[in-house]
Amino acid sequence: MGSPCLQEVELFFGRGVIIRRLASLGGFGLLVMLAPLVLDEIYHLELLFLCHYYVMLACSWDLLTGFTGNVNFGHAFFIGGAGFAGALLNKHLGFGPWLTLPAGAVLAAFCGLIVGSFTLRLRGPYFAAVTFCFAALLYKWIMIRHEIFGGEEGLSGLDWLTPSPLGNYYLSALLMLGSVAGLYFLSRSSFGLALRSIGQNESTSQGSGIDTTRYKIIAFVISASIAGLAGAMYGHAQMHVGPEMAHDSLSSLVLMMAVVGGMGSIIGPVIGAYLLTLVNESLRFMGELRLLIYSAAVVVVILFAPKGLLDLFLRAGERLRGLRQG
Amino acid sequence: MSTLLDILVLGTLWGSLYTLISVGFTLIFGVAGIINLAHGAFYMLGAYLGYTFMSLLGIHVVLSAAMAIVGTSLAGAVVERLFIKPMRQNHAYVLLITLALALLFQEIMYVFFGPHGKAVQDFLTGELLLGNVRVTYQKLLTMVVSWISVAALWVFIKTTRTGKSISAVAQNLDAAVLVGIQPEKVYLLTMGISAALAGTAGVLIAPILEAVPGMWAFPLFKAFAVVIIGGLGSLEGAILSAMLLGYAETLVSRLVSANYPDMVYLVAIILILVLRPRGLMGRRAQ
Repeated sequence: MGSPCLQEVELFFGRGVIIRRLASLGGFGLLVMLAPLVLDEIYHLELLFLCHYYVMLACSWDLLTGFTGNVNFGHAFFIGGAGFAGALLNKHLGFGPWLTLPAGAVLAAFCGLIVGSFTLRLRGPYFAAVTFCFAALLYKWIMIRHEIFGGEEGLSGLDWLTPSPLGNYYLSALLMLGSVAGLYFLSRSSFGLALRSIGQNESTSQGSGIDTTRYKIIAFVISASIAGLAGAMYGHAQMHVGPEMAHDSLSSLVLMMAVVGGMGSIIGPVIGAYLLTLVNESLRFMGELRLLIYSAAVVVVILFAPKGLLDLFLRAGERLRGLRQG
Repeated sequence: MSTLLDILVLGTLWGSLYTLISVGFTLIFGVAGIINLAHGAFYMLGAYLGYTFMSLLGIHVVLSAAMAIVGTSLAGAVVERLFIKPMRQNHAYVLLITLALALLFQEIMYVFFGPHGKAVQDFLTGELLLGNVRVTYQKLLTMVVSWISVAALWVFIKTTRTGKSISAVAQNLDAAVLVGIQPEKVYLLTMGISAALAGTAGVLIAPILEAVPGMWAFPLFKAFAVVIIGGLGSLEGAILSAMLLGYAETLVSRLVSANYPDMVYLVAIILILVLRPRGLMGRRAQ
């Protein structure tokens, strides 16, 4: 499911394209950092915070699934798990966000290592099934042990991430940009190439000396840790964690964002996360029909543009260039 | 003694339902290699169609149930043709489109029927007294219908010509094509049967649990677990592990705590993946 066309372009044009990529990433970063100058209402800042959160989730999901084709149906396992772990550390041991965020990431990475080493050595749908089941069980557990996790209401009264919405915005922006840049360069490195080759033909990759299981597990651990970081961050920003952070609808939402944007490119999920978060917000006036329109649109995109919107844009761009050249 | 009988009866009830749900799920996987995440949505569709015909339109129970099952089966065939067929070879795509469809179905139910559970009347009233364990006729009916459906599927696949063509495609696609079987027809039929079985489970469950828009995730979770434990694509394995899980779940909820039956799945899945990844009765894993 990767995007071989991107890589061919890169091979063909060499460094020029890479420099242009760096420039556009830098431009995106600058845009994110300057956005509060224009959009200074609290509502806008919080909406953009939400975008940063979802970008982190969708990109991290993409590293394993988009590149190797092992579909992770339980990203909420790491998001909710780290969110609640951070909340408990904060409430009972008084750890501040500067400790709970890394703790959430480390815990999620550890869980990823365990789940991954059970399932990623097997081929077939084991990984998809087990990630789905683990997330479902975590959700159940949160609901059952309500004396620890607060049941349906969750846990409130966490320490704030930073004292102001603007602070939240900038911290989340830094974490998001760091994750995106890290994942992007990772995906363009030899590590990313190995993942991509696993996605295209695992047996052949194995035959050419790639320890495919190890690569998949490492990718999953990185993916999980960023999801954990985002989950802990979200909990502090809302000053509340709830069971919906471990619910399968969150896993599905993250997956839809990455798929609509374009799996296997890291940049696609960024587009998907921004787009779906903003579309979702702007459809709010539709009331009950909102989610219907939203899910129908996702079905249409998967059906007609299975490689996602990024691929669609790129192809449209190529065609335009072709027309101009005659 | 009565606890034992109770566990036996309830375990059989849930085991039978899980069998009914997971047999269709494993069938379509074995035949077409499709992990159908919309399987739970078919179950939900069965429950809501049953509710619509029975409680809203007041049609006779048997006729309503039949219409709901046929409707679900048709929905399955449409999903196969329109959404799965274009990219059946791509596993990740199939997983994603069927998940997207499940979410779409959920939203459709939400818009039409609202967020709250819809209760359906029992098909049969009354109860059977076994010692001092009461079993409602509704639960008894659920067990009996589940087993009749599974047995009918079994007979169909093992004895009829069409049924044998299904197992032929599952065993060796190329050889099946060589003897003149048209795989596209087999896929369509299998999907129809698989959806019909899920729909049957949905119709039967509606009076016991309610019909709610989020109900599709629960059977999917069970079917996933059953299929991993039983062995991917193995009907025998699915039946065996569904029954075992039904009993284990009831045993834990009676003897330990009503909160922990789902932990049985976690333990079972981990044990299977570590000790015997191909499942209880699965073919050799690659």
